[in-house]
Amino acid sequence: MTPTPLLHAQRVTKRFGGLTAVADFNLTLLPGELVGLIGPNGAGKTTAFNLITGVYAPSEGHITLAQQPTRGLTPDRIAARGVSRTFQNIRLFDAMTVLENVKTAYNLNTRYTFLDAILRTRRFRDEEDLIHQRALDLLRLFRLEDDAHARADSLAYGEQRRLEIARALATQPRLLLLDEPAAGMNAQETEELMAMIRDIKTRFDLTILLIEHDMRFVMQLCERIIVLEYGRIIAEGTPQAIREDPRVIAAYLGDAAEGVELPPQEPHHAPG
Amino acid sequence: MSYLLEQLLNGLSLGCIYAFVALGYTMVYGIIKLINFAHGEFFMVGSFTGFFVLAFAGVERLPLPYPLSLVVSFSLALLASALASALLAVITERLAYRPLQHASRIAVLLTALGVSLLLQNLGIQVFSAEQKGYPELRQYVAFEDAPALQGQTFDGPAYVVFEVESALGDTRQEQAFIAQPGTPFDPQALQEHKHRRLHGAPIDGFYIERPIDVLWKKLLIIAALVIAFAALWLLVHRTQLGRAMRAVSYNPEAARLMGIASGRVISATFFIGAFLAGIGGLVWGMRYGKVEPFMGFLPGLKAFIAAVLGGIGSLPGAVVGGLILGVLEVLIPAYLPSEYTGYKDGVAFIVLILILLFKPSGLLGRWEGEKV
Amino acid sequence: MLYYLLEHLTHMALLMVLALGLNLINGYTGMFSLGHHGFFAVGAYAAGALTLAVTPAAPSLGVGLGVFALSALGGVLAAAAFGVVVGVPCLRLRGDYLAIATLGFGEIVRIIIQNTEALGGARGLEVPYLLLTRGVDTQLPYVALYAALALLAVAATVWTLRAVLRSNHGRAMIAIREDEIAAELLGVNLMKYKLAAFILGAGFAGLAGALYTHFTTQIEPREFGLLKGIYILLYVVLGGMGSMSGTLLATALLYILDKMLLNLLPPEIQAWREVAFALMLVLVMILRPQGILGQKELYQTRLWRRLFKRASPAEAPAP
Repeated sequence: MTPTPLLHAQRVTKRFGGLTAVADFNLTLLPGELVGLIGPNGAGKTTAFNLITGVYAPSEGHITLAQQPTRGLTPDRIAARGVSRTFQNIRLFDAMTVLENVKTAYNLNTRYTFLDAILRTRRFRDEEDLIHQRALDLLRLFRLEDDAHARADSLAYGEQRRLEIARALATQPRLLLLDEPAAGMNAQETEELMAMIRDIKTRFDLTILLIEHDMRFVMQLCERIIVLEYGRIIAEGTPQAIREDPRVIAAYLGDAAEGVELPPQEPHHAPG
Repeated sequence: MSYLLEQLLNGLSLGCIYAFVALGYTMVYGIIKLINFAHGEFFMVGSFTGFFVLAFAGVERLPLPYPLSLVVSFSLALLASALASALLAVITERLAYRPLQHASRIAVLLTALGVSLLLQNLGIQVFSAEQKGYPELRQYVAFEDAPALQGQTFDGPAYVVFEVESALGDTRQEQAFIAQPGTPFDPQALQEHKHRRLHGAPIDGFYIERPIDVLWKKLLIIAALVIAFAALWLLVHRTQLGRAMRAVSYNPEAARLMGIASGRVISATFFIGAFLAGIGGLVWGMRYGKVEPFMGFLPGLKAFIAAVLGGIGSLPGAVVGGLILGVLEVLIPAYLPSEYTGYKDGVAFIVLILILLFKPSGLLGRWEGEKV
Repeated sequence: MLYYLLEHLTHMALLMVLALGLNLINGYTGMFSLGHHGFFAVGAYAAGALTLAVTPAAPSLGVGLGVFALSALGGVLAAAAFGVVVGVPCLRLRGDYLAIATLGFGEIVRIIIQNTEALGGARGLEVPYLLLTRGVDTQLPYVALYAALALLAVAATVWTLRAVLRSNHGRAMIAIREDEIAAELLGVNLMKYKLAAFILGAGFAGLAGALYTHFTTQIEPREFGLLKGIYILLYVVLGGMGSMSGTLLATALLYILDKMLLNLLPPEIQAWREVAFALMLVLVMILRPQGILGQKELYQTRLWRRLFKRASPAEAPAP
């Protein structure tokens, strides 16, 4: 008997007006899996993330999280059920410090009330101390503790990517979605990132779904890979199987700009 | 005419004026996403310009035969109102809004509020805060032509304008009536005024007010909107400028890359929008008979509500929204007990809140979600 | 002289309470309310109506104190409740649309007050003196008392907002300003925090309104128009959205400039003050849209450090 899936998407379709961004998308993630989602630009990868996290409601089909349907839940409620994510174009809280960025993500698990904060009750102080400690621990894990009090937008690009992951972990998720975590990183940073993802996966007992254009990164890291094209899944399997799948090769050769061996695109900051 | 029909016509003509103003709001919002609060002040300046042209510029003294002279002086007032309003809008955009192209939305919105306040207060300094009666169209008659009018009756009063010196030594203008509306004109009444002077020179004629019947005014306002909207539609859909405006509104970055000078398109949008608001200002003055520096704020706000109601960015939406708002604003108080007439101005705001809650894209608009 | 200073100080302090509350909504939570004068009006009229309803003919000091406290609480609660009424439907709107909707609510409040006989209609409302009568010989103690109360209100506002902003609830609000979508995906309940900001901001506006009613004892609907809202917003923007000391500084600066210094000028120049005020608003937006202090607090500025602290290595000037 197979274990209960953590995430299950069944025949999910998302249309924007006349455009079908994701069609008939099926996905089952078992606890502890590390799965890659690849495909040419505009294939619907980020839309899939937005459907899972509740930014968009599916036009058709349904998604369950630990066998509970997520339809009708706002993104923050889905986050409360253990889904956290990072963003393709980094979305940190720029004007806040690095430490505050992480602390904010503990909001879900904050128990003290506004009144506790105003009256500085024992409950408030104890919990703030705890949040402070945990946030610092997370920063240490991502080697960001020295910048704890710097503004988030003063960090270097690779550090910002790491901070986004640290912040995502602060919500204490079971499922972590990483949207192009290695984009804009050099070879050494990518290498370190791989080690870091493996480390947090065991340390926090995570299930991870990631989007990435860097094929070497995906092939080395993921146990299973899903290939999307024009909103549809065209292949699914182990890295070895994907590498040899004729449809995948055709899809990538058909889109030379996104060639398998091309380096990832240059970093850019899209305004929020 | 039945009460309902009359109120409906009142509402439609009011709605047409809202539509004149709402078109500019919606064009500017469509193109630079700015709620141009100062748009109501462009309307006010248009109204004042028409006031000055009709009351002081002497356009009625052009050597033209009677019905034609009224048409010409009205046309000149219309053109002057529209141009004054449009020029002010172009200057405002250049000086106040263009430097903020890349600033936050809040900064731009607050600037628009500031410009609105600024123009209102400048209006007080230039025009004084007190309310002024709007002149009716009038005919000028030279004294030697007076005998030909003997025995005729007019819809408005006939009067001469002359100067008197006060005890303090300064001079001011006064009117002396020589015929009341509806009574036969007698040239003899002119005799005692023939020696009077204006600006130091002897006066050589008198004025006959030719008020337009209120029913005609309402119908003319509606006709004016139809013509203006048709012209605007052709401009936006059939000319190079219109295509450029639509391109900039759809995607400013792409339009710039395609070589469309968005600065000039934005200026043109302000010009056209305020041109229409200026016409609205003149029409408002002639319909409701008053001008004052604060007159633009509330109609401006309501015109914006009309634009939101119709779907901001949509030209037909601005017209539909304006008409609906005008009709509601007249009909609702008309059929409520009289102690509720004070709530007339509340109608628009309740409409606003309802539309924002239930269909923020407006009746004819499309809603753009945010990209993640 | 002292009397006039204290009178002005009271008005200024109440404006500070209003502006601080609006700063929480607009500056820290990143929304755009243009209807803060509406909350002020609700607080003022609720306190006034409550006072008229419960005050006996000749209240003793004890009763007066009780009525005063009750009406102040009533003002706060009524304004906060109105914050919910405005907030729940409006908070789904963003940016300009929220601004226009709140402006609409502000206008509706004024129109309702103007047309409600029980609230005095356009003539306004007059309440009896409660704590102290403003007689010829008690003028100075009267203004001193209210100046103290108003300053206490400022202190309470600053304390509360600071405490909230330094908690995880406040961080959630600031996160919404920084990136609403990211905040929501990290578990921040947008509705809860936007509403909380509205309720807190409105509650303080209600407090200012209640104190205003008791201080002036006469209120009229036209004092609570959009222009008041624009003034409050200007204090917030000029000081810096997201800076409490900036709000205090800007309110003080503009109030002193407007009410005190300009009175020294000849009347023909004074006639242009409204023009100058509006022009300044436009110029500030064009030249320094982030306001005097931006998002910093006064003690975080370089000038402050240079004046009051020894530079420490950690505070090397930014490039």
